[in-house]
Amino acid sequence: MAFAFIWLLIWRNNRAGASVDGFKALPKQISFNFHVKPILSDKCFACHGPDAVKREAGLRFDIETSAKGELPESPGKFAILSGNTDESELVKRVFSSDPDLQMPPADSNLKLTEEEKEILKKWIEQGATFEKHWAFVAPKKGEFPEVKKTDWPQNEIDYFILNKIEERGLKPSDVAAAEKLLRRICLDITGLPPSTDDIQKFISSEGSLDREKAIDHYLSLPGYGEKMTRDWLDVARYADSHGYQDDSYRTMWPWRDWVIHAFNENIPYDKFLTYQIAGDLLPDANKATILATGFNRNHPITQEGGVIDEEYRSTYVSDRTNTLGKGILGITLECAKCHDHKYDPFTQEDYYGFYAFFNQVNEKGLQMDAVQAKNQKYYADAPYITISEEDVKGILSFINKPDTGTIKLMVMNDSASRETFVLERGAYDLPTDKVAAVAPKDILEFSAEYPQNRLGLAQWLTDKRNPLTARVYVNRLWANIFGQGIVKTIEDFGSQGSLPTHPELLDWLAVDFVENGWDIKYIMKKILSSATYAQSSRLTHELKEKDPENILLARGPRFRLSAEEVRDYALATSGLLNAEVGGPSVKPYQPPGLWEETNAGGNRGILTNYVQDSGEKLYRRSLYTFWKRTLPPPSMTLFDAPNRDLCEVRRQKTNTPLQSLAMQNDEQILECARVLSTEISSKAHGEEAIPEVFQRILLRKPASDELEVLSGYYDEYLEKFRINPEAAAKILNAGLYPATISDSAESAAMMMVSQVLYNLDETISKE
Amino acid sequence: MEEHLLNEKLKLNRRHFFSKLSTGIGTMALGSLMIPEVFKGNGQSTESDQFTLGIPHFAPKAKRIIYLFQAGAPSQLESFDYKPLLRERMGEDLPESIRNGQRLTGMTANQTKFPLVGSFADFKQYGHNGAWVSDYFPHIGKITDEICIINSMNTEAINHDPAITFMQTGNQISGRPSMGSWFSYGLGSDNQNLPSFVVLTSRGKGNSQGLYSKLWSSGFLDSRHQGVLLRSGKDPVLYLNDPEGMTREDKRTMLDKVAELNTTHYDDVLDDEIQTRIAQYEMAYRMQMSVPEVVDLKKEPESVIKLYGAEALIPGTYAANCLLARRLAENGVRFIQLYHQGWDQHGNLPNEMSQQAKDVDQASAALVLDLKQRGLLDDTLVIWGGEFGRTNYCQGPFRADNYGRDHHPRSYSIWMAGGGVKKGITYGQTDEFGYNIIKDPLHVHNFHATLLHLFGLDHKQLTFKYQGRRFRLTDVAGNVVNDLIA
Amino acid sequence: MKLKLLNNLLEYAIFSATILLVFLVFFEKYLEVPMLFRWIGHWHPLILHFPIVLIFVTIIQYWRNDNNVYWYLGVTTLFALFSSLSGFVLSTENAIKGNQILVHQWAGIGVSALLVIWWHYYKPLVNKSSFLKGVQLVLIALIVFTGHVGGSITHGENFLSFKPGKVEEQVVVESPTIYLSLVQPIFDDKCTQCHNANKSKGKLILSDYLSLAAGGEFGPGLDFSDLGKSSLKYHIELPLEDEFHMPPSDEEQLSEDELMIINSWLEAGASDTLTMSGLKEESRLFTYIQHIKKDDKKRYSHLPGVTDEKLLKLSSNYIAINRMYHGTGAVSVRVYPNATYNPSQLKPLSDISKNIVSLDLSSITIGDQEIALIKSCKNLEKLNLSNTVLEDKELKDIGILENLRTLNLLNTEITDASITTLTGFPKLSEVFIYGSRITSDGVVKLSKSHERIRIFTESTQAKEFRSVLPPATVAPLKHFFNEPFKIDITHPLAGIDVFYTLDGSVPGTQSVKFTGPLQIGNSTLIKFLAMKDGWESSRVDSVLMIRTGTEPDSLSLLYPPDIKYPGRGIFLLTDLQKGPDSFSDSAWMAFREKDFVLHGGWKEAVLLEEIIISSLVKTESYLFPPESITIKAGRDKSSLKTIYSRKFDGLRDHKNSPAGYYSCSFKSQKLGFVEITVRPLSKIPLWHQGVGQKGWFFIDEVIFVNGKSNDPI
Repeated sequence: MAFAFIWLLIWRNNRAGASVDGFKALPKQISFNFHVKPILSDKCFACHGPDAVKREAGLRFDIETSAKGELPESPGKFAILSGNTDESELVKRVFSSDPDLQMPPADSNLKLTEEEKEILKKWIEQGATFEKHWAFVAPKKGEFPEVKKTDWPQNEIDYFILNKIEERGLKPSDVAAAEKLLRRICLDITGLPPSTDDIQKFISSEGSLDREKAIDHYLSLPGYGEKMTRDWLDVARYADSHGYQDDSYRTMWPWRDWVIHAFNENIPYDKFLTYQIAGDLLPDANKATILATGFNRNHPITQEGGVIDEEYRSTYVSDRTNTLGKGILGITLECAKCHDHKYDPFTQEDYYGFYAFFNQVNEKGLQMDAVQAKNQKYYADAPYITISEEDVKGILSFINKPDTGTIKLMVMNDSASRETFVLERGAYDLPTDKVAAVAPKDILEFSAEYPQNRLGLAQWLTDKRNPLTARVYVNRLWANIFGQGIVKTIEDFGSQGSLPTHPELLDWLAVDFVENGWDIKYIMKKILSSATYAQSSRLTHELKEKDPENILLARGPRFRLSAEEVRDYALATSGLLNAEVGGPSVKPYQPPGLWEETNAGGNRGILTNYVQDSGEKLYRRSLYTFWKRTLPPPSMTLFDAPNRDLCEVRRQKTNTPLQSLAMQNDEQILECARVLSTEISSKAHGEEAIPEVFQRILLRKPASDELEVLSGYYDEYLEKFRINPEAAAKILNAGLYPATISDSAESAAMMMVSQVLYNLDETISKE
Repeated sequence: MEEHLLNEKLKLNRRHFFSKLSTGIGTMALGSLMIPEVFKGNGQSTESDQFTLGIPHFAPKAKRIIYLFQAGAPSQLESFDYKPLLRERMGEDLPESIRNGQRLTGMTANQTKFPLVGSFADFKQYGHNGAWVSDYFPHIGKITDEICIINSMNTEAINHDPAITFMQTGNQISGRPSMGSWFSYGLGSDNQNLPSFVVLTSRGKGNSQGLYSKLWSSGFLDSRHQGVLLRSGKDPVLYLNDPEGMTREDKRTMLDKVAELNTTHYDDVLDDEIQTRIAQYEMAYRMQMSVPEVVDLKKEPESVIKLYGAEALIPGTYAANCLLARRLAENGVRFIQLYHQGWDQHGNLPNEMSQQAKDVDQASAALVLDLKQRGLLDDTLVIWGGEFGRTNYCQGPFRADNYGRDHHPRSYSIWMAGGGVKKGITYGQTDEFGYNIIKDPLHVHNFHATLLHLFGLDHKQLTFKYQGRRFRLTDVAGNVVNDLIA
Repeated sequence: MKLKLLNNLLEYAIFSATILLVFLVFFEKYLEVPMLFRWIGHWHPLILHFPIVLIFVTIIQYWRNDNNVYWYLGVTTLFALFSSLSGFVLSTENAIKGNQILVHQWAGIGVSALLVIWWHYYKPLVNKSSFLKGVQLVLIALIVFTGHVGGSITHGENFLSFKPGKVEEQVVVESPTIYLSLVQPIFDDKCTQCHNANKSKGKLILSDYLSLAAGGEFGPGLDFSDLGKSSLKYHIELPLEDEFHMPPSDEEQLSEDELMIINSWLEAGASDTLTMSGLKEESRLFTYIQHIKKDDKKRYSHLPGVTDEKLLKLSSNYIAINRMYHGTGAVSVRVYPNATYNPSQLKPLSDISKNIVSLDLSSITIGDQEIALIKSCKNLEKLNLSNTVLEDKELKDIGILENLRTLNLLNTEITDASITTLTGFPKLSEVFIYGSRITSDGVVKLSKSHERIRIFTESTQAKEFRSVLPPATVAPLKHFFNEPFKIDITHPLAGIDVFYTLDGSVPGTQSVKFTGPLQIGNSTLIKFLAMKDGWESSRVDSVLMIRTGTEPDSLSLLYPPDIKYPGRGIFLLTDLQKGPDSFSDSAWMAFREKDFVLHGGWKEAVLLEEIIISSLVKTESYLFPPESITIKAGRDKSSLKTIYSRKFDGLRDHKNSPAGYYSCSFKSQKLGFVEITVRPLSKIPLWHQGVGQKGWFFIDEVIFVNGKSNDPI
């Protein structure tokens, strides 16, 4: 008897503790959207989801009635019986070890983890409530969460961040050093490092940074527009060539000028979209708004003789549709092209509903082949507008046009109205049911007051009630700044995408963005003014352990610069950068022979040989570098730039040997090192000069030990070069920029030093 | 998802190893030693598959591929698919019953007649199984006992760009990783001092079609699986050569300084990316040594040159690339992709095709024999073929001795050798018109599935999750064709 | 006294344990098991053995009328309770209890219950022996059953039940009997549930060959008169919807492979003794078996395991270690030659020497350490020593490798002396000796002594490969020149003989052998070819070097060249540059719609006798010889008369495209102005695909040849 009691006692005490490590980390209240949906979507929808064709046993978990209804193929049985885990087939099946019953079945190569199983079970225990997918519910501003460290937040953002940090028993990092923070801000706004004067201008003598002043200043520079455009070019799959087979020349660069202009003028995002999607259909359409629609003509266009017209025309229309989905709505629309979407509530009809909007263009799959196009100097497929000198003096003044006659630029028009059909398996020659131009109501009802054309689509997109447009854009801005979005999969807000790490924050930002008239500069400033942003990016062992990916943002962002920024950084710090804004693309240094080796023979189009530019044109910002789709500039692709065949919104951040080779041997980098070193060593010498170079490249003062390493290195080479001037001469002959060398040994030795500096991780990282 | 998950694991792993030694220069070597290894995935497995990346799922037969891609689509009817009937009925119109609805390219769409045209070249039978090979390819004829001729390849695309993209990535629209990247992703690289996926291009005299870097892009896979273009000339890999005036020693000291400063910075900010960077610099440094060594054909004796043909002396030719391919295979490169342009004979076929054949015939055969006598053929898979076939009827004005052939996706011929493929057989068969397949069709997806199988990879298991979907080289199709496997 | 206490203690223990058990079982739902108690659960596998033994002891002692049985019984009961308790706790660690666990649990509790009852009513029952017998029998039955189920849980289904050895093992044998190893297992797997001796649905039994042949309601399973008609084939091939389709649509269906196996077996005669050797090599089944034999994971099952971490640790920049495939201990090792290599780097590998089945040391200097490593790899199957200076002695030192199958000795110093060593490897089946010192006699000897060894030396076909020498090259290459110069003739290969002629005749061994630079003064056509033993002579190559005379002071075109091919400007016509083969090069200008009309004028009249037009003909690209060439000339523009005119009869076929030089010679005379008119081909001939269209005329140079002044002025 006694025993029993003792045991019972021990129990009582243990129950609390026991429950904790019983089923560890299962949340008290299971949320459908955050816990259950991801599991169902990832592991079940493939056979029990929206796709009618692949659906097994007539069961679908994406719709409550079906999920909870009687199983059509086994009467009397239910997949889900709210609150009843014993009778729910789902529970039986997922826990079963019997291969015939087990779900997911072995041959699906899908497995549920124990935790996932328990979540499903507990969810059903708690009544198996369904909710609409979070991203399809219009965002609302919620309460600010409680925080302990009330003196930390500097604006709304910080409450959301700090709350999560504190939940995990961590605390935010200190504010980053003034120079580092200034460098970070400048890079984030302009994509360039701050000038050395900026440091004087914004950092007080006692070393405090006037953040607001700096932010406002940089937002007012043209560099801001260029930086924002760089990002948008990936979305718009911009290129200077047609792509495909022969990949000949096209003139789309004036469109790029428009985007830069739009950002610098801070045109609100809703207008920004409207112009690019439907600028031609606006009641007050003008040449500028029509030009903006070039956005939807940036896709590849074939010039391969003898292709089947319709096949390619439909490819173009799909491309526009997919770009809208991925780039603007953040959904994987293309998955619904050949069959109903497997995970999200989009049917094939929905896809072709969007498709219909872009299907009215008066275009051909093959306008003319590369050779003809070359001979007739036909660099823009119809429909296009012609940009004359007058235009550039007038309404198109933002175009930086060299006076070389008129330019044709591809744009949208709806002059060829077509009926749109669902295409079986997405094949152009298998039309089935007719569909009207309409957007899926699961996102937002396409109400009757919108016209049934691209203009209507634009209105639907920029409707305050649209749950995606604003969320997706602020999330991308966030990702550009912090290295990853609040929703990490910035291209996919659907069921298969990752969930927001700070849902309330995302919604708050989205709503705030819209409330403030879709003002991009406003929201940028908001983010950059937060305490979250200002944190130092230094890791601690604790943070490394608890949050290796920096999801909580208990420290500032630290990651490698984008391909363009790497090159621009070198140009800017060396003083070579040519700040001219806009204009036709330029051809800087590129290893010889690349185009020649792979082209389709001498006379196929006009991009068969790479003719490098000279002079100032070599030193333009990288977003102006000529983009040939089938062979993009290697210095860009090596650093993860996409090839621009399709809309891309998230670049990888890899770290490869080929990148280090490029940093060491790319003529451009070497030239920068040379020019910088010669300039400095013409003014200062040895011991004074090294900190100079260091300051110029890293924008901070060297630490004593760093200085030691470098001056040791410098002296060693200074001696070498004094003895062996030829070597110095050789080293110093990188690049075409005219040399003004006072003391070649010193310059060469200094060049070795600056090469070391340019090859540092810190140099090409934002931290 | 995966890519990122892997990265995290990578870091954890590296952290784990670094913690064993004090950081500092010492860690460089270690680091460079670890990262590629980790990417071979020892220990790491991605969430979607229960298999470890970098290790075959089951016993592999092949370890390397040399893919001799004949870009532009060589005619099967002048190479391996012998159709005497086409000569007998020379000039007659292709019966609609045979063509039934096969779509036409824009080039022949408006053609009113489809006059059958037989091969200008004669055919001979070779080897134990009496395989038919045209007189354009006498050397390949000599090795039919070593190879498996497939006359029943078929694809869906009818134009070059989508077709070649389909052949190389498993999808007609660009954006997917290329085969080479998939292999690199699934098997990792063997030689840590060379890229695991290498691309070589050469140009024929015939009417050619362009090549595009997307054909060897790693798509959504980590870009270290991207094909590296090996170029003839002094800079075989982009940016490989150090600037003039910089010696190896200079480079070494420079890298040490870079590493020293990077390490100091690492101690401050503790970001593992810095360690990776140091490691990548070391690997680059080693590549600078190993690549030039491998590509230096001067080391090859004259007898070898004679085997591959004198053209092997001229860098950048097909012959030279075949020889180079063998050297790369010997040095543990996983996937060696050759492209030979110029096979698009819409007109003037007999003339151009014979020239194209001269370019590749001897060197291709030589490669197989050379691998064999060196004991490399067992586990090296050689593939020869293009992106689709050519029509059995003439394009443009018809003449028995000068004609053209349009694109034909329904059937074409390739051959494979070594790597666990049955040898001395001819697989698949087309009708007597050489238009439709009547036996053992081999669709591109099945072709891919079978290749992966030869390397011990289950094409259904080798997946990568991107944009919420698990992608495969074989998309959603593909069956392994056991009949091809020895 | 003591006993009393002990007895009470026992009573308490049993009582509270019982309460506890009851409590647990009934309130399981509402309880969370505390950690400490959980840990006790892990003792279950240990504790449970006590009651099992004790029960038998107790019962035996009971019948031997041992008077301590009461104690035995007590202790037994207590242990039974404990094992039930611990077992129960253990079971709570599973998220959900499978049926087996539940059955086991209740059976176990049953045992305890019975024991408790017996113990509790011990005295009253002493004489009810018949009843007790019952209890004891049930106990024994129950304990065995419990054990059985328990066994199944830990060791898998039917661990304790007897079953005959299964298929996989048999597949491995060289030539398995198809029926036993492949066909029957399919039935066992998918059919015998319903078609066995006890439950012969449709009177069909598929558990053995004879009953299969006999068949059931639907006739013989195997109809040897026509196997295609066998009811076996019939039923498995019925459409799934058909009610007689087998297996029934709601059961697991036969896989493609299984269908293939059954069908191929039927085709092959469906004998129960048919073995693999009885199959045609090209048959699908043959290939299939080849597979399962090769892919058989058991092949390396005898090797010790090795962790990924270990492989990772042993790998380095130049030592690649790869697991052969997922889940095997077999690894391959490749050591790459490099500057930093030294043998001691191999030492650590001895840790995994037993795992190494493939070792590649090609291009590594083989010394003692390397040999030592090789020796230690007992399971080595593939060894690559190619491109090393390996000698007979070292190969001998390696000793016998029991499992070695493939040995690569390419480019080594191995001689015939090693043949005995080679025959020493019992399993050796492939050896590569190309480039070694082994003679053809050696090969013969080797293959004689061991017919199973396949010897790879230089491939016979390779020997047949001939290669044509690349043509020699003339340097500097000047197609047009105005000053005398020297040419050299070079060749990429060493030891080449070059023969040449200058009179246009075909060169051969009888012609002049090139020794040193040649002086070129006047227009020259040099023909030459290269020769070398073992090679086919290069094709005869020729270079025409034309010496130009004067150059007009003024030069103009009446019509501009076609916009498609404007060339780099009119000066290209006299820049002494020959255009390359590719006509799109700017060294060429082209005409199609309009004629090429060139005006050339001299301030001082010059003596001319020939004008050469350098053109390009590529019929496949529509580049043709012109329709006609007309030259008008005179002292000045005003006094022009036709001094040359020629019409070209279009080409007969595509085969003979002319070189493209058109020499227009005329009576040597003083001229101040010439008008050269070239009309592009107006109608492309019938044989060409572009029939009827205009032809292109491409031109890259016009040469004016000075006349010999015979009439002095």
